[in-house]
Amino acid sequence: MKKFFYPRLAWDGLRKNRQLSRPYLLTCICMVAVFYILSFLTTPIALSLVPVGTAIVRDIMNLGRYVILAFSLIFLYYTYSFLLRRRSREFGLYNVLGMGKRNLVRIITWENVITFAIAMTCGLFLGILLSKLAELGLVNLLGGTIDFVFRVDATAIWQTVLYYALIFGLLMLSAVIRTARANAVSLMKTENAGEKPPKGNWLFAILGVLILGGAYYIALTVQNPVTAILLFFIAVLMVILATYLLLVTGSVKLCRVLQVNKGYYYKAKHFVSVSSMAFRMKRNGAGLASICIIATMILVMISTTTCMWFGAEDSLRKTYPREINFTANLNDPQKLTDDTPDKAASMILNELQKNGITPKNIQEQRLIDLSGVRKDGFIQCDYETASMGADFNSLLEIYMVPSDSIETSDNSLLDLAADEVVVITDGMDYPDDTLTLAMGEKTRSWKIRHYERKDTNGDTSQMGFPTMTVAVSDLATAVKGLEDADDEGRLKYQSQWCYGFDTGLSDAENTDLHITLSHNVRPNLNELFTEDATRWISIDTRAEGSADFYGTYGSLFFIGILLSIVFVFAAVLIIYYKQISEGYEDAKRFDIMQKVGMTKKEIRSSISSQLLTVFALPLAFAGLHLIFAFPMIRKMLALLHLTNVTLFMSTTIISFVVFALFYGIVYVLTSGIYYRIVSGSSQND
Amino acid sequence: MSLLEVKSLKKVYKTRFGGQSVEALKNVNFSVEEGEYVAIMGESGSGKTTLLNILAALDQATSGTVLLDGKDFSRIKENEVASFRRDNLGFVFQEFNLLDTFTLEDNIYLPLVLAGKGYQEMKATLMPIAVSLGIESLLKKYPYEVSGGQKQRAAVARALITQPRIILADEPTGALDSKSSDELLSLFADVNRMGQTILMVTHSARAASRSGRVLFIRDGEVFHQLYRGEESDELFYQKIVDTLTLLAQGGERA
Repeated sequence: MKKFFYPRLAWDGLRKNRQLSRPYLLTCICMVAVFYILSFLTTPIALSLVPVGTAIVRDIMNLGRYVILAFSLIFLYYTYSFLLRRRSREFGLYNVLGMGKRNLVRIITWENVITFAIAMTCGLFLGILLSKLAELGLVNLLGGTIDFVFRVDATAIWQTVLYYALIFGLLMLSAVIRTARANAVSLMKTENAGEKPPKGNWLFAILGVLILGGAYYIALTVQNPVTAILLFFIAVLMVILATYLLLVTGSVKLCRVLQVNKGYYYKAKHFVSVSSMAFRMKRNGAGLASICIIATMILVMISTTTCMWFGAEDSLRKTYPREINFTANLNDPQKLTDDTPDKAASMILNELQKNGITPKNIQEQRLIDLSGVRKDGFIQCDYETASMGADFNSLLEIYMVPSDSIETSDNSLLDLAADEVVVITDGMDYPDDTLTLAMGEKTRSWKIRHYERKDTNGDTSQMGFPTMTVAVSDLATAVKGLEDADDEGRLKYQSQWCYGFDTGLSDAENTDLHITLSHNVRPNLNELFTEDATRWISIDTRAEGSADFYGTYGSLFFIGILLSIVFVFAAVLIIYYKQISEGYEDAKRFDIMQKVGMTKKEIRSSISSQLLTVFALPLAFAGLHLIFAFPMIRKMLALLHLTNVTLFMSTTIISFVVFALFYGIVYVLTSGIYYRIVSGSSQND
Repeated sequence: MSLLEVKSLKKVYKTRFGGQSVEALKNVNFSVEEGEYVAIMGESGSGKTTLLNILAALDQATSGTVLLDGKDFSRIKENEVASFRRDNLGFVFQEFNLLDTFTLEDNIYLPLVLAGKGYQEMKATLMPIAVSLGIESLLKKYPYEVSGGQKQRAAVARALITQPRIILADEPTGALDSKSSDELLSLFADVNRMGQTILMVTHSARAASRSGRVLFIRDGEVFHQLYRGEESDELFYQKIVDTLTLLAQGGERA
């Protein structure tokens, strides 16, 4: 036997089917390249350039790497099975011509070895080449200093080869099993041997609508950001399930319903389109649903990570209101009302003066922090009930502050009687006339002199619960009243003193100042405020937060872009294969319609309207999903103190428009291939 | 005036790179009268299919004229060809050419829907045809669910429903077993007896023997023709077979 017989045969097989195998190979190369890049970015030599949050960056890159790996496995399996199905005739022919299963397996093995070799060589080459670009991008994004030294990491290469060898091994195994099971006749059989007419299933269609409706309802009604996180994943699963149900069976059912409507169906414009669509959707529903899910994924990912990146400064400023922030948790609320805070402030100011620093934008706040559960007509404040969190949605935070520290439209309100309060809520309504706080069986009530709701999109409370700011004339009296009512000692609250200021110094200088203040002021403040060692004073600087924030958001943004590229690749490949397989199926029909008396123009316009529907469906669904996901994601972003709705809305809209444009271009290009296949075969007849 | 007149029809194919040209039809002359049932016979490569494609207005002749009811095919405008074909011609193909996405009923309606007819009108037109073809119980089935003979009958119904001036049949029995073939040919004879003009291309002597006249084509020309007259199917069949033998032996015109 001739030398290299099988490799040669395998190579020919790949070459002759290049219309199918080339895009597959390209996808393999892209995935290998991206995996290498991410692996490279987790290595110490790449991370050494990252100025901030090195550990966070490494973790996020690592996470992204495994997402790519999992996606590679699923997606390459999907495309490879498609490839095998298309080529079953060729293998059947080999079989009829006298090749045994053993020989076929050898061909398939060689094909995989060749594909693997090409994917590895080109993928690694591309990956190494682009890794510099990625490194520059990431380092630049995180504000590090870029250099132009080219770095290659052996571990990253080694890992890429290992993981992808594993994936290709699995693909090969599946192909071998498939071939071993099939017989020559079934391999030769063409795909269009008597296709059952699609019926569409009422149950699944209705189920699809219901599940989608349910998911959308959840997305629209969830108020609490913490609940939103929990429900988001459930809603995502529901949406995925519903999309598949609707696109696979719902769309077919819709076509059937239209067919029953004789006045609509028997019109030249609808007749061919509607009946073909039923078949088209049966065959392509799953593919379209996948495109839709991938598109939604890309859009959510890119719009949120972009929003995070551009909102990082915002988020940072809300988490750290001033450049330097002192927070003291007091064990004795009385100390909030005597001259202790003033003493503390002057201690800090003294130390600053010693260092030659003039603080600006000084912000001081004294407050009592309580948690409560909303009940009918009162708020239960005892620790046990509140902390059980049995009913998540009725939890709220109460901040009790002195009346001179609130901002209202009416200054006369600042002069309150002892039994009067001003209530300002965020994220909830409180329409009652009186405010009643309950500890066990005992209660304490105030008359509400003024009430207003000021929503800041859940940004006032760290935990994302609705908040209630209660302004009282005298904090000490109010607390005393509560304590008096609480004879069982069930009330738990925190007395907090917050003091913040800007320095106008650089991040590095602020970090130094932080150290100085920790050494020189903190011990004194501790002594001043508390005798209890478990309560302490914390000093936070925005400079430290900045490193974490930009490290996290920057690398998430980076990963978002990189993953989007891979997912876009996948979506393009699905569309491409769909157009090719439809082209072959439609060629014969095109021919018949022409013979029966349709003009080429009529056929073309009917087909292009069908293709357009098929094209627009996933995009429209993705858009719809995105619209409904928007309020939910917005609430979750609020937990990260990202409350700029305009920013999020614009990143979402821009992402969608860019994606739609790109998708449209791909569609136009692949339709060209489709039309070539369809008209090519009608000329041959 | 004849229903269909074909005068000095010529078709030359150029090979793709312009080199050699192949003469598929040299000089074809014949005419078909209203209500006639004509079979065209010839071996593979004799030019039958080319002739049929030109008669179906799917292809254009290099020279010569085709007249249907005195209307010249070459004068029909490009954008009218499809509707002309729909209104005047009915087709029956060897491979049935039913769309697998339609039920038999919808397949039959296709030309009428394209012509803009309403459902009630279509249904009223279809029912008598479906009954006479014996497919009224199969109308809701899809092509893959019925036999070849039944598919071909549906295709005949699709050809008849527009009440065409002439039915062009291309090897209609080619993909059928002998029983289905006989049934289909009887059907053609019945339809013809009711006044439908039929032009059938075939290389089956048995199929041709059911017609009223047989044209033999060889090397792109009408070589010979036989009229049935008052002869029985068997006798006519014998005559056709004799002629075919003569043709095969390369004999001259009888």
